[in-house]
Amino acid sequence: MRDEAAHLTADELDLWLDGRLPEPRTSHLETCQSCQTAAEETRDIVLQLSTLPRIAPERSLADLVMARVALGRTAAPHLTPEDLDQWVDGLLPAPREAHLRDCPECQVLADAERVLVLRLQQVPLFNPAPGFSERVMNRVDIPVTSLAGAWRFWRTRVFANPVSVGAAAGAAVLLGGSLAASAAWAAAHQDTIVGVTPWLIDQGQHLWQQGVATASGLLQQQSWYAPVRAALTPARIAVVGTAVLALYGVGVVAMRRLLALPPAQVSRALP
Amino acid sequence: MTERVDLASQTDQEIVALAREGREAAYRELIRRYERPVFSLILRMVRDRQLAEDLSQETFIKALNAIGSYRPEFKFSSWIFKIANNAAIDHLRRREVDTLSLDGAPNATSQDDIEATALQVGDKGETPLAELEARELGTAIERAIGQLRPEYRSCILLRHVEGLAYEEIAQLLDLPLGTVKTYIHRARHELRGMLAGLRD
Repeated sequence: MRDEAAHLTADELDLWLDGRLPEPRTSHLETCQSCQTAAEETRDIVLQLSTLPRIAPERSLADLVMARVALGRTAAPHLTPEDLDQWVDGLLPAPREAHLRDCPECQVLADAERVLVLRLQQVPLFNPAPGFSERVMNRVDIPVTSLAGAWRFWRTRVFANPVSVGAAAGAAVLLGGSLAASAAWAAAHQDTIVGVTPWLIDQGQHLWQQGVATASGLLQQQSWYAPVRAALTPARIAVVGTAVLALYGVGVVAMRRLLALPPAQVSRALP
Repeated sequence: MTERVDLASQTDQEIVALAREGREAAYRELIRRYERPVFSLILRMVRDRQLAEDLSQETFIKALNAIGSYRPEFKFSSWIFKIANNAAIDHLRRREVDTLSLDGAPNATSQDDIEATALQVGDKGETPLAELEARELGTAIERAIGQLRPEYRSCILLRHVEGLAYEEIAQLLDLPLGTVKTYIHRARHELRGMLAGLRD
């Protein structure tokens, strides 16, 4: 709801001029000196405008207009931005070319457009600082598929950094040293190795047999062992085995279908 | 040397296939072909040479490390320009001091703001690099490009400097074709207006 004490707006002054100002606002106008002044000023301006003399054009104006109007046809619209695109590329359709030839306004626009596009096409390309390529290559992981690639990997990732070189050298010394020490010890203690080998084999066999006997004893002590053992006839083993194999086969086929790549049409439709 | 000559005559797709096989020379060839266009696009977007250098490096590293996921049905140039443009736009959005131009930031309203944000060409003590940058980006057309909105700038550069088709730009920027056309038409309209009042 509008505040009745507020001064008249420009829209309300329009309504007042047309005699359509609502009653509450008319009351305000009657009591408000400021609004009365504004209303009178507005009315004076409108009156002055309405009494301005009409100036008749020169008789030749009609001829000038008719010379530019193609009788029986509406005037062709000015070139659109799309038209300008086509004109710059030399692809503007003939009717639009005809308009361009006759329209000085479009000619100015088209010339400015062509100059701009030419200037844009001629802006130079800039060079990055020297060594750009090397800086990029040092941080690119090239797949190692050859000896040359492996060498490059080591050269860029290990040999380029003194800390990496130190760590690699340390690891190489440790590994090589331990291998050399093992070989030297084995060469100097052939008798010990020959004597120890049969003993180690005996101990291994003994431990294996003990483990198997303990496991089978524990199994036989279980409450479910006897019924299960009795139920496992050769025929039932064959049936269960076949069912398990069939289930495995179905699972493999299902996994292959799930993991297969989508066909090209489907993959293009993906976001 | 022979390999370099052979690679130079091959298409981008063939070079990419060699890169996927782990051929270092193919990687170098891709960098050689695109380092100037990519660097120029980013420099005109961010208008800072060192920053453009860093973003260009990131662009190539990202693209070349992901060469295995590149889909050959698209043009390699579109792919790398997309990565470059995203890098520049992301940076501009992060910093929000993007469109600093030689005339001062566009959002500078008072004379003090305009002077404070303007790059002073030929200042005493200017480094050779800054001097170079001012010279490179100081021509009327470069100054006008620098005053465009970033979205308009990338579209107009891709269209008229790199010569990409509207459809390619739309695909590259993930924008509707109509939006790309509107951006480019408005950019040209603004550039015409700016250049009409400027002299080189």
